Amino acid sequence: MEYRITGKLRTLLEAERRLFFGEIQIDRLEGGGYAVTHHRDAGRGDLILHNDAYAAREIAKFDAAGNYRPLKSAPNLQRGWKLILPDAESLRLALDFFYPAMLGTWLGTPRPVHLRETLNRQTGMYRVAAKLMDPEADRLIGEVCDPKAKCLKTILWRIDEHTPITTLPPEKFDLHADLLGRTGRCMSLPCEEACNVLVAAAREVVKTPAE
Amino acid sequence: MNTKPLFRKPDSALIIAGHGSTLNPDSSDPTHLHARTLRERGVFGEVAVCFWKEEPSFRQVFRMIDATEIYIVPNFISEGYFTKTVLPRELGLDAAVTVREGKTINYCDPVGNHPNMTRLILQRAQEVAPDLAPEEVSLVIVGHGTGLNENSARAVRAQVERIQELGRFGEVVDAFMEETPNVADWDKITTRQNVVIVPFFIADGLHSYEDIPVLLGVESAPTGAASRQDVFRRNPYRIRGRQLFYGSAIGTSPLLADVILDQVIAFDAHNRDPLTTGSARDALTLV
Repeated sequence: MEYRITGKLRTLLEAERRLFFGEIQIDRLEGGGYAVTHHRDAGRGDLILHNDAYAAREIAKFDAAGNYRPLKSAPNLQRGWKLILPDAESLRLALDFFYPAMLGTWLGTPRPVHLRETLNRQTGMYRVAAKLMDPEADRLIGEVCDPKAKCLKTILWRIDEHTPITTLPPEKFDLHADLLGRTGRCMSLPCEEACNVLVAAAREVVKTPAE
Repeated sequence: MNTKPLFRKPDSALIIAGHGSTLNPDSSDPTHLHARTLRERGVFGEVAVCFWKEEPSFRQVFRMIDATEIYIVPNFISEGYFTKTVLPRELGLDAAVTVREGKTINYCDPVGNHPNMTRLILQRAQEVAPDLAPEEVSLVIVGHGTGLNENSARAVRAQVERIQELGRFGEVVDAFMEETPNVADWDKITTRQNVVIVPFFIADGLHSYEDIPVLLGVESAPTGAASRQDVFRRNPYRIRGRQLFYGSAIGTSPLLADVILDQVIAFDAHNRDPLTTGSARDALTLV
């Protein structure tokens, strides 16, 4: 049985020979199967080959300098590797290691949750994050979610329903824009709700006394 | 190894929910390992993981699942703040069985609660000190204790009692990082020459390869990432006039994949129809 997400991915790659997804490039191979590389490595002949979707988890775990990447959408995916995968199921698994849950989110209907709701929901050590003021939130999002340095996701939420984020460029909020500026079909990384990285940063701001 | 040939849920999804870490790259390894084991066994149609501090988050994970019946097993050592407050809130669960948007979500007990964890402790003790007769060994099961892990002490004590009843070891005692008996006093709370320490933790995180070795006295300061596995390779330690064997966290055992299944089986036995319950009981024969 083929699952819906896998089927949609396969269908998509029947229509498109090449897809970009975050920093990776997916190519459908003529003889069947798929090749996955860092998009800046396409065409290189010296890549280390892997035939196992689980290699994606190890590749995505550390950056080129060996630093741990807890946030998979950080724009620092290491280079120098190539995955050859036999079918859409193994491709789906690999994509969920590179960008967890992003494929299913991209294929689904977006359901954004605004920052205020996320912060107000917190308990325990993160409860205090709800005290973050709107201007502080705007400034913080501009730093923590900066697509050039921190995160390649496309933000679908606002500070609250009536309060947009003003500190990031318009393409950061556009599901149809490619934040890496490539030509060709691109699947975005939809951010439906602030992640724990931002919530933890909000807590720090609230707990740090103003100078 | 497939210990449960009768148990198949090809139309259901399994989600293993762990804590994860933004600092420690090894924290989520066991959860991913057990997910892979269960994926390759083909028990469930889909197997996914999710984390509090890593991706996919508890909020995102349903996006990865197609199946309409979902089992969630918390990869946590005890019931407590995470399993009772954070997970239900973030996953949008209101009961053991939550029906939402055409999906039935079954929320199982955390792995650490299952009686079959005993088997993992026994196996770990055997691995770290294979040449010792158990009756010559003091087995120390170490938990976190206090704070947000308030029930971890109870889970550790339950395991101590269970292993004491087996009468296999010279003695079995509990010890904790943040309450008494404290693991730093391991030589005072045990009487045998050989002491085997098994951390009742989910992963080899900061507690099991940094904090506890310092408390035991086998490291003078927290070790750096590069040397962290050495702490388990240098057994036995000759220290404080005793022979000390230190094992890695119990949650890293490959057998934990079976305990995850056991929690699904136990869930069905308590919550599902008699037909499922019957076959589940047949399969509940691990220890």
